[in-house]
Amino acid sequence: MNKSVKLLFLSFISVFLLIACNDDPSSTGLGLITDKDKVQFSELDSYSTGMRQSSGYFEDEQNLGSSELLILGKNSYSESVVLMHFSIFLTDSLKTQLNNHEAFVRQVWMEMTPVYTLGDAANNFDFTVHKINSKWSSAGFDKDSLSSGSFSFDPTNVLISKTIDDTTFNFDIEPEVVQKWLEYHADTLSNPKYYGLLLKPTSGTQKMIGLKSLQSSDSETLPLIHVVMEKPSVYKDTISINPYMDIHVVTGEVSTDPNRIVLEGGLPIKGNLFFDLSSLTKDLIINKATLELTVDTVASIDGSAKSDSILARILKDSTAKSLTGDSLIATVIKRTGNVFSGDITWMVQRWAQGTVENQGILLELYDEDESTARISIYGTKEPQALLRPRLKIIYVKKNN
Amino acid sequence: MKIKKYLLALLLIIPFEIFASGGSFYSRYGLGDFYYSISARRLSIGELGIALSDYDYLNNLNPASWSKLRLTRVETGVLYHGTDISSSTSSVFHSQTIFSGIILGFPIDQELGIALTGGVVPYSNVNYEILGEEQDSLVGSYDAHYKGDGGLSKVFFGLSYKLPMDISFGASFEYYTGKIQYSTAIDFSTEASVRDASFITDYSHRGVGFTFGLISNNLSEFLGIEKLNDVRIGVTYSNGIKLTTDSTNTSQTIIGDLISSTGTFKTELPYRLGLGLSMKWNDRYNILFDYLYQPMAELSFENAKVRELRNLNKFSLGFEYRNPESRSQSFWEHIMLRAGLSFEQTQYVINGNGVDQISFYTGLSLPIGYDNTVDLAFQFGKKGTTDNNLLSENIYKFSITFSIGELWFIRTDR
Repeated sequence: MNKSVKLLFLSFISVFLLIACNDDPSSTGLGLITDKDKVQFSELDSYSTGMRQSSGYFEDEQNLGSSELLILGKNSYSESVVLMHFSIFLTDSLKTQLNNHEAFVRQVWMEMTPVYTLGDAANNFDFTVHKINSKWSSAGFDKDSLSSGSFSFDPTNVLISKTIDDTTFNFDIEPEVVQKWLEYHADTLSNPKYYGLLLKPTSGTQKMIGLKSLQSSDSETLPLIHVVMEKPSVYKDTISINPYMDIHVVTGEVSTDPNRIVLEGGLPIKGNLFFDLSSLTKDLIINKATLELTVDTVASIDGSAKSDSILARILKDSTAKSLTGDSLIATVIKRTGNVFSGDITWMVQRWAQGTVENQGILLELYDEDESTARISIYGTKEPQALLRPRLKIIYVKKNN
Repeated sequence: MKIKKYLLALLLIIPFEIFASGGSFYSRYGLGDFYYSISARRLSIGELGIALSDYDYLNNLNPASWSKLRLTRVETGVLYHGTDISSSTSSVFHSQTIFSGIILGFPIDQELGIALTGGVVPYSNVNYEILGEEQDSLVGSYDAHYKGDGGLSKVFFGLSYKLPMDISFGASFEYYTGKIQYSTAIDFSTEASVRDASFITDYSHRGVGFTFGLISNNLSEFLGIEKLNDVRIGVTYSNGIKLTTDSTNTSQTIIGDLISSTGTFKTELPYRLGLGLSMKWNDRYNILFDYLYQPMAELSFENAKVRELRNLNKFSLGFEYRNPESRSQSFWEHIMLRAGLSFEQTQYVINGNGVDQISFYTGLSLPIGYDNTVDLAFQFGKKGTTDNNLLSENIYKFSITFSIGELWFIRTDR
């Protein structure tokens, strides 16, 4: 019995030693794999095939309340105004002084940080500052809100002076404006309510400037109002006030060029692009799908920093311009030279598989909330075929 | 009883494949390589033994062989399968270890030769893996990974019965089931901008079949040769089976695994016929001749035959030494020794060249108690050739089987 147990043990050891001799897979036998068992790579190029395609652009809903920039200015196709509202906290002693007309605002200036420009540096830039007379909120405020009857502002310009260069955006406003705000906080029953300031470019302005907003992640560059308070013969002090609500609102005309895909920040203008990929079947795998968009540099107006990226998303409905559940996943298409190029393999795989109906791609500027650039891309009706959008697909299929 | 409980519990949790990493390239065709018998005893006598019936062993090839079963018996084991594959330019060694199934036999009436036997055993095996660099004008170089894995198993139960004139008859009902997966994966280098892809095809087979067997009475008296005894002829027939096959094609893409198509079709597995002759010389030596035939050229998937398959013919010769003095207390006198040879025209025909296999077998049984043995077997085989760009495979199989019998269902006289 002991002998058999020993032999059995030796047998198991032998088996496991043999298992350890196993080699990694190798090419031995590869020559016997026939072509019918192999895979076949193919290419589908919108330039070389008569693939049906279409493109266009449209004005989408504005949602600039979360923008990290406040853009102020004007150019040939759009105008952007800035609205700001402020939150003021006063000590009881200051309230008493204000109610007794013992404390006065002597000077008010605002500091903001410019980080974006659109338009030539030499172009004229000027703006006016107005008291807003109606209640507003940055949540949902857009160009329609601006033109609606419920929004109003005082046409009187309260701007006194300004200092603007590449790194500085400071302006003085009339102290009386802030005096009224403080008096309201000192006695909310007797004094009129206030609703903040509207910054509006003048008609001769041909430039846009982007300023850091409340949404900016950099707390050191947040907009700030400085107020010099004086109680004659007692003190003269400077207090700072932060806005608690700000937004910029862009208005303008939408371009009407049927041969282009116009992408624009601010309004915003978005593009749509469709390629007929019905020749792709469910049984193939997309190895690579590259979308290339050529920029019409003459018709484009870019800012600094440049709008050098486009987001591409799958459209659920090309008419309603609605998005699919996974449209939150966007592919970034980067600009190199005059061509935006990006990998949209996953989108093409979805269409080929049929998990999503091919209704095309939605295109939008990556920085459309922080830019007023207009990027004009040659569309699918562009007479010069080599300037049209190009979709180049490499796919693989099993031969049998 | 305890041993059986442990074994049964173990068998329920262990999958058939214990370890695998590629095997015979030829198994990519048809339903793969066949397992003829699970036991080390059968392996060491050339894998067949169709005319052999024993009171202390079970086999799944011929149901008639159960008629002499003396004790309730269980057989199970492990099979190691190493394959050294060579082409004219390279070679690779792959191995696989499988659980070789379990068979349970219950003698019901020894006088009438009635025994009920059932079990689950592997029937076929697909296991190959090839990895090599390929070139394409569109995408450049890439690694192509071709892999096949899986096989069929057979769940069966049947009865034996002793007909007049000491002729044994047996029949079993069989349910075939199993999955075979074939995959082709394309891997690009990490620097490449082209994405990897995999195509996976899964086949799930299921179907019902029957096996009938006969073992003749002792024909030695007709021969009249002294010392030649227990001469028997055996025949076994398994009917052709229409397996229902569910297929699923899956693509592994950038957005995950996608099922591109599914379907159900019929796989027609041809019948199998076996003939055997067994005889005893001097009551100590079993001599066995066997022949197995299966027209695998008729195998069809969805009515389409496989170009790489031909009819299977297997011839084997086996010897077994067994001491007839079962009352001896000596360990060494209870050891059984075995050897065998076989020649097989396998079912594979590649590029018009048939793949043949010749094998040598040896093995022994060690007693681990009354009527209980642990059986060891070794097979060395050579399959195919490197001529005509084919592959030559050196096959090393090592099998351990436990054959454990106990007296059950004892009727107590009052």
